[in-house]
Amino acid sequence: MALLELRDLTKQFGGLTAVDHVTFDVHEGEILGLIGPNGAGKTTIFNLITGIYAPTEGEIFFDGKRIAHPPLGARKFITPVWWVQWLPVRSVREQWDQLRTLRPHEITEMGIARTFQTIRLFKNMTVLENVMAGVHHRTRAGLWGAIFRPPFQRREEAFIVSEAERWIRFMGLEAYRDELAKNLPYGHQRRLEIARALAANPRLLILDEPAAGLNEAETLELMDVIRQIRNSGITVLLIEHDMKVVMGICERIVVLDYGKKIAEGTPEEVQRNPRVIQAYLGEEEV
Amino acid sequence: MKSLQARLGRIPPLWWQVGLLALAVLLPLPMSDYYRSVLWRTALYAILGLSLNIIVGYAGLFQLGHAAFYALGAYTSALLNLYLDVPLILTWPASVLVAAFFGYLISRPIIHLRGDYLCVVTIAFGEVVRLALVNNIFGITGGANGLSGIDRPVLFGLVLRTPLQHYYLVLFFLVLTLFAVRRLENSRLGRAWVCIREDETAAEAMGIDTVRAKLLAFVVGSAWAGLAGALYVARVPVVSPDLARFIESVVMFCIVVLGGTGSIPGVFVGTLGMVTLPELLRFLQTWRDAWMGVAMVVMMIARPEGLWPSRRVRMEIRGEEEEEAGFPTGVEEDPPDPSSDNSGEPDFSGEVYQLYDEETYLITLLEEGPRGLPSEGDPSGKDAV
Ligand SMILES: Nc1ncnc2c1ncn2[C@@H]1O[C@H](COP(=O)(O)OP(=O)(O)OP(=O)(O)O)[C@@H](O)[C@H]1O
Ligand SMILES: [Mg+2]
Repeated sequence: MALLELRDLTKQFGGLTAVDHVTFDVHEGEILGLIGPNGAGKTTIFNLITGIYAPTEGEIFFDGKRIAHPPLGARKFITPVWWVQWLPVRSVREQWDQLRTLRPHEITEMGIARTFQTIRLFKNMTVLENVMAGVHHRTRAGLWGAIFRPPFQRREEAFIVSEAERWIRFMGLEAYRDELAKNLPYGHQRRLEIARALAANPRLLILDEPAAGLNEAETLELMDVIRQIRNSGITVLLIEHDMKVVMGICERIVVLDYGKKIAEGTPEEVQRNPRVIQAYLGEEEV
Repeated sequence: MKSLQARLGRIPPLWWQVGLLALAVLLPLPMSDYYRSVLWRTALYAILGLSLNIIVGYAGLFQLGHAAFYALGAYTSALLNLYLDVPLILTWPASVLVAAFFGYLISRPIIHLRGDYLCVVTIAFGEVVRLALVNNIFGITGGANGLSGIDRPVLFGLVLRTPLQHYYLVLFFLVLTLFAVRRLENSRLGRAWVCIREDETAAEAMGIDTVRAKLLAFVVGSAWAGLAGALYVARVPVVSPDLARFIESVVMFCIVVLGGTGSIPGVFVGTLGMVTLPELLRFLQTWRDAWMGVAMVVMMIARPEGLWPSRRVRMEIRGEEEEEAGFPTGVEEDPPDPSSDNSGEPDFSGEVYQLYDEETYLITLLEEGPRGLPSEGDPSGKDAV
């Protein structure tokens, strides 16, 4: 069983089909690249996986559990009975969970963390605070913990900081620990976003154009880091336009064009695929 | 103001905490009862301001009906005392709970609305509460005249009567509030609130249950306003629907905004400006309100971040300007200047789509509700389950 399975995934925005019956798997422990010309629907797929959008059709399974499905029609009969989720009957609650769509934070909790194509850091928070946000869902202290600070809360705070520092070091940002995120150079902001996602302890890390805007040296470092991440047991799914990166680190590649999957295979296979060549050349002609 | 802030910042915190507390305790002693009442009012509104600051300042939710919860707390205390003869201090927890309950009730269905919509709903709720009280709901609230004849609170056999005693009572709760709020600020929950204010989509994607965190802010803030209402009743044994007037909510909102959203010292500055000063200038009568208005407008133009802003909010509003003013960056080894780092600026044309994404996500949140069920033309999102 694959770690992540997309089945016939479709997303329409009004009349526009951004993702069109896409099916592919992400296997545990691999680096999978998702490529395609601008507007092919790559980011939309990421937003579907992370629960920001609900699919129009199709399903997504993560580790065997269904994490996305169309909310179609469900709403009409679901709405009047929303209170069943609080019934103390297990099977009812499970049914309910099947009906409703998961929210992004629940999907993150299940083990999928992401970065954004346009960097979305908490700009006015420090690097440390940014990464600490990633640890949020792994800790529990709430209102009472914050006010009364019992021992468990203090241990938790210490854990949050140490965990955040670990990923800051991993991404080589320790010199910037107390710097505001927005004051970091661009390349470091990209790294910080990855650190933040890693702090969420994901099994699957999805990166949306991590090398965009990086210079040559930074790109090489990034490729190294991504390999290291994979070696530490985290599966990586990435979108990237930089073919050097894609061909360099991806074990498998899925190619999208106009929302449809047009090819899937090893970098060599994909590079030779006439449909892929045409999609990319076609884009240039325009 | 900035140099003052800087200078104050250098004094060890314990010193000025103890100093301020001592000042607050000793200040009313040489005063007449009138000024003691003014101090009482100031402390009470500081509590209200701090409670609203949790909602507006930390979680970034526009709440313009805060006075409704204040009134709910006051009426709860008064009703329990009048009809069930509950000693006043025992009604205080009930005031907190009732305000919290209503806070939950009204915020649950609207929590995912965007700022302006939320604002309208809270205003409406404030009016609903006021009108319910005026119309003598259930025949127990005494209509427009309100309720009177409420007992005085008794603490350890001592009946609290004088303005001084009441000032100390409120001061006690103010210190308690301050303690709690400062700890909240610097906690897992407090950080989650800041994340949400900074970028809600990213916060949600990092595993923060944004709906829950915002609800919590709303409920806690409302509950604490309920306590302030109860403290009001303790001193003024008459309650009337005027407590829930819209202008009261506006004053509370201005307290938070005037001093600097999200800033604790800012709440005090705001209280002095919105409550204490107008009280002391009572003799100017009609001119007072006009001046308040002018002052607000001037301030919003000249100093939008408030008089004593929290560092973060100042940066959010002033943005780059502030960096030139020289915040220590704290990094010795001279990182490349981000603003001149245009070489690394991405020029991927896909950016347009991404911006599109971000825009629509807000709308997604608004229309589809927290569970992501799509709406079919129902902007209220009330069936978002
Ligand atoms: N929220 C939205 N509403 C309407 N249309 C959208 C939305 N998000 C994306 N689209 C459209 O869907 C299509 C796919 O967009 P998407 O962002 O997924 O492309 P992409 O493959 O990530 O492209 P790029 O490489 O440029 O980032 C585009 O035509 C875009 O205009
Ligand atoms: Mg994209």
